Amino acid sequence: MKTYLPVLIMTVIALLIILDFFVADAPSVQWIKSSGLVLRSWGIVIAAFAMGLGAVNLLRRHTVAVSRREPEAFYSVLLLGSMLVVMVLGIASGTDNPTYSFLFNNILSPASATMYASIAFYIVTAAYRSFSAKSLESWVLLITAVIVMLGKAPIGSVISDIFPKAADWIQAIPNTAGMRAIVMGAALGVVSSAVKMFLGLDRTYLGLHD
Amino acid sequence: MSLDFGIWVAGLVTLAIISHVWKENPLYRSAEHLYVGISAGHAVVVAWGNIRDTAAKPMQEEGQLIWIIPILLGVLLYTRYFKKIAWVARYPIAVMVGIGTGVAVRGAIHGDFTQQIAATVSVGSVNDILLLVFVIASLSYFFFSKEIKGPLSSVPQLGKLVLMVAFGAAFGTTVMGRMALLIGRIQFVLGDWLGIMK
Repeated sequence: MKTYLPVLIMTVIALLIILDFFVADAPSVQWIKSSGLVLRSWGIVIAAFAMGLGAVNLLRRHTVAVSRREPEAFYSVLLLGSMLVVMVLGIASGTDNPTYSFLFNNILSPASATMYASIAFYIVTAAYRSFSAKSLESWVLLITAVIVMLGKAPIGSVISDIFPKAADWIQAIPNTAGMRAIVMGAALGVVSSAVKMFLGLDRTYLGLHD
Repeated sequence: MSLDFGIWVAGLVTLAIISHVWKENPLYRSAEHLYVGISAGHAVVVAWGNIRDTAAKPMQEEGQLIWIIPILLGVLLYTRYFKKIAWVARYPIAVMVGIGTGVAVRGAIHGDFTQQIAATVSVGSVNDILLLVFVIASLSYFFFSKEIKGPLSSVPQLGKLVLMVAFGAAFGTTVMGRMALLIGRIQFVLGDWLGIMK
């Protein structure tokens, strides 16, 4: 009961949401449409509670680190302090609060942009280490990457007009074709995984690894 | 050089995070933990706003008591902290997974499958024909049920090359995107903050 009922609930809810999208807009099946809509809005609320669960776990983990005076407890203090300040300000006085905006605009935004920007170094070094052009396929990948990069950088059009045009064509035709095949394969994978879950063959989401 | 306190904080945070490229250091770790703390706090504030606007307000102002159900399910997620009743959390998880699976499957069938086929088979130019051939070739590369032999074996070979072109293009685009962000940060540090560059 503790196992099969959740699987049944999951299956019924998933099928209702799938049917809601594919059934015609007729009065006889209006209940499917409205149930699908209601369930999707419930999802927003339950996911919000789940976010709180993640926050509680983070708070617990770092509170323990501080109380045990672990060697890196200073960083945990920084994390706990910033998290609590943002939470209290945001919940008590909204996201328009000047201190909240200050933290968001002058720490979160630049830190986020710099994190993504610093990935540029790691991508380039990883590519230098792993791009050993020993086969036709690796040559094709390498040459395509170089053409696309030159096509998108100002220096490419200075060298030749061909680079931006070639980059655009590569992105519009072979890139779209390759990505389309991957997306279609992934879609079939999503459907087959869902069927496995509906049949109760995959119950790992309930913490059951049988 | 800027005299704005906010720009100084943003500049120091930028330098602290970029310093990780050299090696991990206390400045980076401090900025990293501040980033995680503020992100997590912001996520909680957004989640709180979702509960308030989607469920609490309609319940209080319009008497829509149906919203008690998702709120109750959300609260039941926290039973996982109590060993004896931890199994109760399976019900809200089942509801969430059901909603996620339903939304994912309908998106996969419609947007990622039928619409992709429809867009591929609508042929009107040489490029469209090439696109159709390349998609079929790429799909044939993923066909593992039976080995493709004879003259047709060149089709998955072509598919493999098309996929390599796609990966190369994806790599090039990602590098250029990250470079654009890096240039933006350098412009901020040297221009907005230090005033060296205009």
